[in-house]
This record gives sequence, C-alpha cells and structure tokens, in this order.
Amino acid sequence: MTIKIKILTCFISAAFIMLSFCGCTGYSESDSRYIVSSIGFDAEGRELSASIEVVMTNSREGEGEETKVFSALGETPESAVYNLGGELSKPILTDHCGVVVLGETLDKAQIESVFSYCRSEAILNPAVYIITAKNAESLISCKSVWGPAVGYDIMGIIERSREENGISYQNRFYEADAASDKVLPVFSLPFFEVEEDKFSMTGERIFNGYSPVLELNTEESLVYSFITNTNKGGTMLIGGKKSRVSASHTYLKVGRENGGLKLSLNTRLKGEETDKEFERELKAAAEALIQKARDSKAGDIFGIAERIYKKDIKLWDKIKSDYSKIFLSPETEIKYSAGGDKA
Amino acid sequence: MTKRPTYYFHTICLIAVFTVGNAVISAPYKNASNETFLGYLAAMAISVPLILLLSAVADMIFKTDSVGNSNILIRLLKAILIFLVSAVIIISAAKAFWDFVSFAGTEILVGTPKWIIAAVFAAIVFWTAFQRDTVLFKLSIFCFLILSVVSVLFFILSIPNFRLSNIVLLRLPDIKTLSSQTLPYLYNVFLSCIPALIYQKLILGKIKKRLALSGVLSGTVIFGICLLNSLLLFGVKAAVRADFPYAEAISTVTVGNLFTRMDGFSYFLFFFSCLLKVSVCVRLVKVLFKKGATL
Repeated sequence: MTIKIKILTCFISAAFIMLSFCGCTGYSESDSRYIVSSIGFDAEGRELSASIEVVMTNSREGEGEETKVFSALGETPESAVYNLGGELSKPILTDHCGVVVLGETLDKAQIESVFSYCRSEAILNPAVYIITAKNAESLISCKSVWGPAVGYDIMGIIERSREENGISYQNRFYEADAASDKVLPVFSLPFFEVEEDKFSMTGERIFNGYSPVLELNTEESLVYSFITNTNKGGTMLIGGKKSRVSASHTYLKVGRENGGLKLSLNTRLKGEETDKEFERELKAAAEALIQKARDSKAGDIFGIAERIYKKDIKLWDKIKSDYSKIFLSPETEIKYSAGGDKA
Repeated sequence: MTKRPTYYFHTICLIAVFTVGNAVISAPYKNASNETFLGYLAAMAISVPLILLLSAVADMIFKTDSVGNSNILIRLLKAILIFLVSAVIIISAAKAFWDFVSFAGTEILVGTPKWIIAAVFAAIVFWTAFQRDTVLFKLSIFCFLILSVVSVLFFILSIPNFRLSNIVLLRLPDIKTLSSQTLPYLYNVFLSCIPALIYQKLILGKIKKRLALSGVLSGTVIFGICLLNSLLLFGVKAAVRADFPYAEAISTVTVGNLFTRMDGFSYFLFFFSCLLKVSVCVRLVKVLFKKGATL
C-alpha cells in the first residue's frame, strides 16, 4: 500500500469514528430509551409540574414512531423530572430535546430554577430553544403536524419565521442565559398559544430578571427585532405595508437633559423594495411599542442600557444606580426615526 | 548511504498537539473574566522568550558530553534536575490523564465508574507509549491535522451565532487583573509543552529553537481558535459556567437534519490530544529513569 493510500485510509477512518460519535446509530439506543423532544414546566401551587413529550420508536417491529406526554410534580425541576421515572418503563434520553416550554403560571423563582436546571443538565443541548406558553403541558400535548413530535414542529416554526421575516429570536438557551451577564438582564422568548389542539406562535414575551414584563404580538415582535438589531432581513409586513428588507441597523444617540435622557433611535433599512411608506409604518409602530413599554412600566426592554454601557461607560457609571427610574421618567425623551439607505 | 530522517515537521506537530493538550477541554478557566482573551494574547507574547529560555535550559541539562562526568557535584546536580524534570512530566501527564477521564466520565460514558474509564484509557496510553518513536511522530502529524481541520471547520460553522461584543473590552485592565488572566494560559498551555521540548532533545539530539517556537505558536493558534469559538458564542461568564465550554460550543452546531449533535468531533479532539500528551510523557519518564540510572 502506498503512503498516500495509507494516509487517506487513516483520515477516512478518523472521519468515520468522529461521525459515529455524533448521533444515535442502530436501533439499540433508540429502542432502549425514550427520546425526549420537549420538556414543559408549569406551576401547580407551590410545586412544579414537569411534562415531557417522548418519541417512542419500535424499530424492531418495523412500526413507526409515536409520541406520548408524561407529567409529574416536584419541588424543583430536577425532582419533578426525576419523579417522572415512576411512569416510565425506560430511561429518558434528553440529548435530542428541542424545546423547553415555560408555562405562564411560573413565578420568577421557578423560572430561575428552570434556567439553573438547564445549565446544570449537561445532557441538554445548550442550543435548545426556550419558549413560553399559557400552559406548557397543553402545548406539548397537542398533535404534531409536520414532524414526529410537537417539540420539533415548534423548532421548525421558529426557524421558518427566522428565515421569512428575519426575526432572530434570541431564545436558544445559551442566548437567553447570556442575559444574566448584561447590565439589565432582559431577554425575550417566543410565545405559543393553543386553540382546539392546534398551536401557533403569536408573538413573544419579554422578561427582565426572569420576571415577565411585557407581551408582544407578531407585528410588535418584528418592530422589536428592528430596534434591538436582531433582525437579519426578510419579507416584512407592518401596518398592512409589505416590504423586503435585506439588512437593517438601528443607531442610538444618547444625551442628558434636565435629569432625564435624550435618546434618539434611527433604523436604517437596506433593500430593493423598501420605501417611504414602509418606513412611516415602521416609525409609527416603533413609537407605539416604545410608548407601550413605558406605559406598562416594563422599562428598558430594548437593551438601550447595554448599548449606553458599551458606548459611553462614563455616562453609564453616572446613571446606572437610577437607570430604571430615569428611563421611565417623563424627562426622558425617546425619539424614533426610520430613514432608508437604499445603497 | 541512507539519509537519517529529520522529523522536523513531526516535531512541530508534536509540540503543537502538546500545547493544545488537555488545556482545551476546560478553557476558559474558572477564574476567567472579560479580560481572559487579552490574558491569552499576553501569555502568547510572554511564551516566546520563555520557550527560548526553556529550550536553552533543557539543552544544558541533557548535554550528551557531560554524561559520565566524574565530578560528583555535577552528577548530583544533574540527578536532581532530571528528578525535577521527571516530576514536571509526571504532573503534566497526570493532569492530562485526569482531565480526560473526568471529561469522558461526565460527558461520554455517563454512569460508568471512573476507574473503568481510567483503566481503558491507561491501557491505550501504555500501548501507544511503547510503540516506536516514528509511530508517535506519525500520530502527532495525524492529530495535528485533525485538530487544525476540526477547530477551523467548527469556527467557520459557528460564525453566524458569534457576538463580537462578547470579547470587546470597555476598560483596559490593570496589571493585577491582566496577570491573573495570563497565568492560567501560561501554565496550562505554554509551560505544558516542556515534555515535548525534552522529547525533541532526547530523540533529535538537539532542541531546534525554530521548531520549538513554530510548534508552540501553531498549537496556541489552534487553542486560540477553540477558545475564541467558546467566548464569541457564549460570552465569558456563560463559558465559565459550562464544565466543558468547547464541547458545548461544538454541540450547538447542526449540519442539516441528520447531524444535530456534532459533539463527537470535540470528543475525538480531546481524546487524541490527551492520548498523545500522556503517551509521550510516559515514554519520556521511562527514558529519563534510564538516564538517571546511568549517572
């Protein structure tokens, strides 16, 4: 055998070994365990209810896959998931869990404990999607439409939305968890609603320090993604006006005036079909959203604090202790404009 | 007359794999702050004169013409130095061994008693360590190429999820902070290549400084890519919270619908870099004991 063939054989063997680590091969693993596709958490009084959607494969009999939902109570997410063992005849495999659902009934401490669970659970992928719903169990108990399980359908919905209207939901676990390292721990999660055994994404819910502070509908989510620079471009519909935006960036100017802040946000859009009418609609929707956030006392949900901190650290040092008050005070002025750059 | 093989490229690869070694498994380290990447760069800068100095010292200790020196003091000093070097090598090997066994016990073979994992890994290490030098050298080329390809490939695949703001520094650190962030990299990455320098001396007869520097720099570039991957993806604080940040960073990459957990690539990377490091250390200790006995 020539050296070249030996080297090639070495690398092909290495590639096979590496790939063999990457998934569940053969039927023994999938048949001996229940594959968890989604986990949901709801509050039941002082306790937590953990629900898991499992995909059961019967490859030996040549039958297809079916899903089942199991639930159990516990004081913590760990104990609730552990207590599920009483209902299951096989151990669970969470490596392929696609979605963790936070029910509306969870309080701040319980949400924090779920995050802590996801962090400590090494077998849960850090890229798992975190979402919210009125009732987590009802959502994952729905009938799956496209894929083998509801968890994977939800992943598909979020990914399709990302591709179509460009909203890059920062809801992978490591993205949402990174909020705790920011000056204001604000993060947003997609919100799903269930109606007659059917589910759909109806917007997103904003959290500040694990407390839900505001709910946004689909259009508001789109506007929110522009203001927070998390829109990657796509086909948009705002105020009945459709447009195709290839890229966008919202610039922030900060000043101080009469004890308040003077903030001016300007979104620049790039795209062949962006026009003045769309920009006007975007401006109106953004102003309404900013007003909604201020009226509801949700405070700075747009990550402005983080941007001030990174842009002008001296100013941030001066205002950080009273930032929440300053942001909501009538002296603080927030101007929004959308000016197209059609380069 | 057959030309004696030079093993120059092999040596560079061996030192590079040594530099990556077990350091990549847990980087960034537990005390890391926002200045960690700056600390890594500082360690990289400091390591150049340090490696040159270490090469000169290792060359001096293992000078062939001084073997059999009749002066009892020189022989004693030499014996002490060999003992100290052997201790460094054993500690380095033990740390790499334990890091891999802990990683495998936590991530790959969950529930398997650690002593079984340790026994299997030790068996592979000893089998590899007692192969010919050429086998270890060839293995190092293979490992180096795999490390380079995997680290660069996954870095590219992770780019869409990177946030540059994760490593941007808003304030320049003071000396105390910078040194606290530099030392772990200096200790875990650069100084860990001491056994590889000695191996070069014992096998090639001389430490070629250019080879040593090329090896260390190639290794640190690969290590830097892996470190940057974790930091840009998770941010410093979240990366520090993870037990094995690079493995978790790789697990976020999906290729199509078929490969959704690519962690296997990081397992392979950790396995080979640790295997080669521990095997070379075991082989070195054996050679050093022989050398010590002839004093």
